[in-house]
Amino acid sequence: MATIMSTAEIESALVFFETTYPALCHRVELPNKTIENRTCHALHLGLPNAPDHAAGLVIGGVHAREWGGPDIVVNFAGDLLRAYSNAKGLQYGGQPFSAADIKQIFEQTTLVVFPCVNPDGVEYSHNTVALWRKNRNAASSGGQANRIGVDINRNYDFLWDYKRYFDSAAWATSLASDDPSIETFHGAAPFSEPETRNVKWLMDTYPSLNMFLDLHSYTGDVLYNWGDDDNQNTDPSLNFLNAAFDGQRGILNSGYGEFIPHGDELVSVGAANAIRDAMDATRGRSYEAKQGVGLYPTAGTSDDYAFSRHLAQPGLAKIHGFVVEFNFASDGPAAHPPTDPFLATADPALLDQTLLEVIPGLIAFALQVKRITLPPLHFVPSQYLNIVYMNPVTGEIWYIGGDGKIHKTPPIPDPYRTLAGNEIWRLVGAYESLAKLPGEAGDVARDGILRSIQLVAAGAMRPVKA
Amino acid sequence: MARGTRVAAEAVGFDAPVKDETLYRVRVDLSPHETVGILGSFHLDYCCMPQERAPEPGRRRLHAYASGATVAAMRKAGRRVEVMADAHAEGRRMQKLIAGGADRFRGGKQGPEGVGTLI
Repeated sequence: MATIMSTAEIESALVFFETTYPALCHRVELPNKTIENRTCHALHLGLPNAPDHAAGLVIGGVHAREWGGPDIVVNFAGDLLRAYSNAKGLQYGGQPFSAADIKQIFEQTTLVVFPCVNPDGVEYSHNTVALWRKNRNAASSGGQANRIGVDINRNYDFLWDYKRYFDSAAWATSLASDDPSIETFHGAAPFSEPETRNVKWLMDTYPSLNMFLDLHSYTGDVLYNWGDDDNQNTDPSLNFLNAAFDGQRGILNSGYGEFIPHGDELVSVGAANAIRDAMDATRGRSYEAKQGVGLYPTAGTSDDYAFSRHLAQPGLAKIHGFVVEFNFASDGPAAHPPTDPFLATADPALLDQTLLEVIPGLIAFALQVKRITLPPLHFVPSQYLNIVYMNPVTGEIWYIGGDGKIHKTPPIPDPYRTLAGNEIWRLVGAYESLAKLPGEAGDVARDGILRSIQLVAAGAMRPVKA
Repeated sequence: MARGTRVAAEAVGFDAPVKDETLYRVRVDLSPHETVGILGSFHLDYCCMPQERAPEPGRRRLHAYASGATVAAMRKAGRRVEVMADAHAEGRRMQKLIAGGADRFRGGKQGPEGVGTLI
């Protein structure tokens, strides 16, 4: 059974990977030492001499008390290296990945993992105050212990100055705080912290980066952009750069919604669904894929900073941002009340289950790095309004055409299937499970699922080139 | 139950007494149309914590950390607050479960065994 790794063990694991698989990975030293003078490393995975490959970045260990995050990232990298070097696939419970999947990750993408962004905080959480969340920067503390630390995931340069950008009614401790005693203290300035500068450095250093994932716990969600307000696809003028809307953000279902092009949102939703499906398949639990703001509005977070870069600085690559919130409130030993879910992975059995469940989500993420670069498929959405059947293996769809006859689409090329086929098949399964639900409630539920199938078929089969 | 994860004598529940300076892990009841914003004045720590469904229809329970003084203030304001644990005491118990010893990977001479099964 696994047990939580110390920060020294995380670093040792990366050294082990580098020395065991020198042709497949190498460590990357981050330029900014932490407040407690620790040097951090990421791990670059992929075949050499592939600077143009689409790249993905996975980070963990941002919030110190969310135990298990770095362990997931380290084991994710280790499993990929072990599988590729043996020309094998990987199986996690009910979720298989073929040898071709693993080969695609190494030969057609670059993957960078940064398992422990906040080693100072993680060490402090392991050995002193278990519930510590922030880093250990005392610069704003005034010498008071309860004012030490900056929330790394409120320190990125995205709407960082929340009192300027957000409606005052949205100011809450979850959004961000300028009070050092609060857990979401956002620091003295954007990128004031070495940890956030290290993540930014990785984004700057890998110009072909197109997907980013930040691992947290424990709401059981896969979150995609945006996290500051509702998404909307209709008015590009409503955006985070437009000062005319300062002071209006963060209130859901209000006049302001953060603009995201429809195609970009489809890519985000499709990838989030693929990550969720892979995690759900392992143990049969149900993660939820949803927009980041569905958790609560946030300012200065990593995933929104990643996606905002190409808008704030034209010329930079578009990076779709994701957050996986692993595990659930009910996790932990079967006591009443259950153990603190942030710390419950201290139980080796739960850590093993967590690794088994979350690593497939990260592999699905890595597969999406290549898939979202594929050119659009030119299906005609109206074809799919009367679906009769779908083959989940080939993606072929039988539908009733305008002539009243049944027609069949060609098979979906393999790289697209995760985006559309998995989602439609999941919905078909949900529809069948409701087949006998009586009354109006059943009718409403079935109609809703059918509409979802039609929407996915009409949209998600047409991934837009990133 | 895992080793040492709970102390039987710990006072938990909706009526559990609290000490002002102690940090508690709590669940706070929210009615169907309330958002966490309504709790803003209490400065709860609920980041990355869920609002799970309560047994009563439409109600939710926000997971959070709060001092005993905050728990008392919320109760005084009519809010149902369930004390789950003394958060720091629980944290100390959980710390005892993690390695905390020598580097098991011996500076990189060894590595993790792996999780997935090769197929």
